[in-house]
Amino acid sequence: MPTSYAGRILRINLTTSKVTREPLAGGLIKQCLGGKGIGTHLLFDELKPGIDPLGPENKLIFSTGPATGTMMPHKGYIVCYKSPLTGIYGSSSSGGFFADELKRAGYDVLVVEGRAEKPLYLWIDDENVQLKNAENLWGRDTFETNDLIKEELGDEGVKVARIGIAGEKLIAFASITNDYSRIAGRCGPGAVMGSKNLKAIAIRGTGAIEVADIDGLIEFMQQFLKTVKETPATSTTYPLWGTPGGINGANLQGVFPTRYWHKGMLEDYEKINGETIRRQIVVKDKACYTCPVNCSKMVRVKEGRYAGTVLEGPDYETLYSLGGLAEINDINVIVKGNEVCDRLGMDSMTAGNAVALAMDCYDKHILTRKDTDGLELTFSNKEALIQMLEKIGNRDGFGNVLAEGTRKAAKIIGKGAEKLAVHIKGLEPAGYDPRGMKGVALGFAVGDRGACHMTGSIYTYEIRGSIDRLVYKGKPAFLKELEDKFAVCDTMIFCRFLRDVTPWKTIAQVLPLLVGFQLKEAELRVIGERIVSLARAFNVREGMGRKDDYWPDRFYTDPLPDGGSKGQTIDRAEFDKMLDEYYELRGWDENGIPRKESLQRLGLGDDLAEEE
Amino acid sequence: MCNQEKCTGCGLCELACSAKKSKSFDPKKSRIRVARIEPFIDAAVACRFCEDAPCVISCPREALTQNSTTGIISVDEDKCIGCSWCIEACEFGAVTIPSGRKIVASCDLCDGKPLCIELCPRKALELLTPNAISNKARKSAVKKLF
Repeated sequence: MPTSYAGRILRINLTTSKVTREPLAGGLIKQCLGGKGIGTHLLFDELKPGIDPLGPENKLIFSTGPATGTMMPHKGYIVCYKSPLTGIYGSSSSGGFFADELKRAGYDVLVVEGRAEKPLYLWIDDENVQLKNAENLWGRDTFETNDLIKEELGDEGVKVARIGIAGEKLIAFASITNDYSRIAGRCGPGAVMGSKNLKAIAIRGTGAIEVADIDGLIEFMQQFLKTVKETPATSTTYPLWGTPGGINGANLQGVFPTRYWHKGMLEDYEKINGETIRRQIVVKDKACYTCPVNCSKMVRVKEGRYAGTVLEGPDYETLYSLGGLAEINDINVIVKGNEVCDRLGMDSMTAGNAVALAMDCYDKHILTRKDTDGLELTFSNKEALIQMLEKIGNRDGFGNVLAEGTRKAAKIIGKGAEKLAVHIKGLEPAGYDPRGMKGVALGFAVGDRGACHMTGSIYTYEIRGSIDRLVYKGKPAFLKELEDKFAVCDTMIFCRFLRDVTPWKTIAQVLPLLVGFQLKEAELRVIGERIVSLARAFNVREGMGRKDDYWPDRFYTDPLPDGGSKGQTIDRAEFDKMLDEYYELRGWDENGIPRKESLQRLGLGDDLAEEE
Repeated sequence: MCNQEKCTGCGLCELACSAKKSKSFDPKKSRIRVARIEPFIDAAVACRFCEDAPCVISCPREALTQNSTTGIISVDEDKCIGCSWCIEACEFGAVTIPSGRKIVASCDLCDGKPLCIELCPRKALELLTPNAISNKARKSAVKKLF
C-alpha cells in the first residue's frame, strides 16, 4: 500500500563529507510518527550528554511529517538540536515550502552532523547530493544568500534554508530562514549551522508524494475545508489580522509585557494592533504551502524614515518584544527592527528581550553611555533600538554582549542585572505576563525548550477566556492535555493556528488516509506523552530539574502595577502546588525527573531509564 | 480566472489537480500552476480557452484539438510526442508536461466541476465566461462610484 512517508533519512557528515541514506525504521514511525517525535528521538539517541552546542558533536535534525507534501494542510519542518542559547533541548519549526521539497526529493529526515573546514552549502538535487563552496556567500544576509544560490544553481524554484550574518557570527539566538522569509527562529539553530560552517541547504525535489487512500483524502479535504470556513479562528481571526489580532486582548487583560516586564499594557497599543497594521501597511496576504489560513502578511512601510521597508510580518511576538518591551508604539519602527533581525538572521523575540534588558539596566544606571557605545539606551528610543539590533547581529561593540542572549548578557553586565533578567532555562518567554495568566506561569516554566509558548500553548485559552486565567486550580491537567495534543500536532506536522480544527478525532481520521495504518485516539495520546517525557529526559540528562522550573523572583514578589491584571503576582505556594500536580500527572518524581516505570510505560525502555 | 489580490500562493489548487489527475501529489503534474513572484505577487494560471488557440494551431502532429463549444483543449496521447511547440505558443504557460511522461496536458475543467476551484480556501478561483468577467468588472467599477 502506498504511504506518505518517503522512508529514508539523509545523513550528511560535514567533517568527512560522507553522505548516507538510511531507511526510516518502521518502529520509529509507529512510536514517533514524524516531525518533533522522530527529531526528539534521534536527538536523544545520537547526542552524548554535555556536548558543546557549537561543537561538531551537535546535530541538526530536520524532520518532516506524514502530511508533508500532501494536500492536508501542514506546516514545514521541525529542526531538533542542542540549543546554544539554553544548553538544553532545542527545537524550532518553520513553514513555507522547503519541507515539501525535501520530501519530494525522497527524504523524511535530514541529519547534518560534524563540521566543515570551510564555508559550504549543501545541494540536494533528488539523489544527487553535493557539498558546494560557500566562501562567496559568507558575509551575505539571508535575502542575498537566497538569491545568489538560486542564481548559481540556475533554478529559481530551488528551495533554500540559510543563515545570515548572525548565524555565521554564532549569535546564540541566530535563526534559520527558508523560502522568502519563513523562519525557524527560537533557541539558536542558525548558530549551530554557522558553527558547522554550513551557510545553506538548497533542495530540488521532483518526485511525487503518494498517500494510502487518495480518494478518501480528497473527500476528507472537502469536509475539512468546510470546517475551516465555519470556525472563527481559521476563517476570520488569523486570515484577517494574522497573529497581531491578539494585541488588543493581551493589552486589555493587562498581560502584554511592557517596559521590560514591569508593566502589562502598552500606552496607545492600538497604534500597533492588527487593525492598524492592515489599514496602514499590509500589501498582501500570504500562506505557507497548502495552508487555508494565510496568517502571514506582506507589509511595506509607507512613510517616515523607514519608508520602503518590506517585511513578511510583523507577528504578535515581535510586536511584544520590540514594541511592548522597549515601549515603542510606532509600527514603522517595529517593522524596521523586525526586518533587521530577519535580514541578519536572528530571533526577534530574544533580540528584543536582550535590548530591553539593557534599556532597563540603563534606566537603573547599571549601564551608562560608556557601556553602550555612546547610545542613549532609554526606553522608547526608537533609533537606539534599531542601532542596537544591528550591533547585536554583527557582534559590534556592546552588541557583542547582548548577542549571548539575556541570561549570559546579564551575567556579563553584572551589578544586579541578573535580578532583572527574564528567562527560564535561558530562554526568554513569549509575550504573555504569567502574573495575569496562571496557566502560562506553569506552562512556560515546564516547557521543554525553556519559557516556551509552543509546548502547551495554554496562553490561547486563557486569553480567549475559555478557562479563567487567574485561577490556579485545574491548570496542570489542562496543560498536560494540551502538551500531549500539540506534541502530536508537531509530529504530523500541523500548525498551531489549525488547533481548533484538528482535534484528536480529526488526527485519527486523517492519519490512515495518509500512511495506511490506523492509530486510536488513546494511542495518539501515548505518542504525545512519550515525546514530552523524552524531551524532559534529554533536559534531565543535561542537569535540569525542578530547581530550573521557576520564574525569576520578581514575578512572585512584584505585582503588575496597572491595567487588567493590576496587583497580580504568581503565588509561590500555589505555583509549587501546580508543579507537584503536573509532575504527578506526567509520572515524574517531585524533582521533575521522569520515573523509570513511567518511561517504560511509554515504551522508552530500559536504556533510557538507566541514563538518569 | 484567479483573483490575484485574493490568491495567497498556498498551492492547494496545484495539489488538488495533481491528486485528481495523477492520483499523487506533485505540483509539477498540475494543470493549474501558481506563479509566485516574491515578495508581493501570487496568482494561479491555467488554460484561458482562447479562440483559435495558438497551442492547437502550433501542433505539427494535430495532437491538440479544441472543442468548439467549451473551448477545452484535448490532447491525443497517441499523437503527442512532447515536442513542446504548443508550450512555446502559449503565452500563459498553461500547457505543461507533467513530470514523468513526455506528453503535454492542459486544464479540462474536470467535467465542469474543477476540484481546484472547490478547494480554493480564499475563493480566489472562479470559472467564468468572458462575458461574466466583464459584467463583474462593470458592476464592481460602478459600485465604487456610489
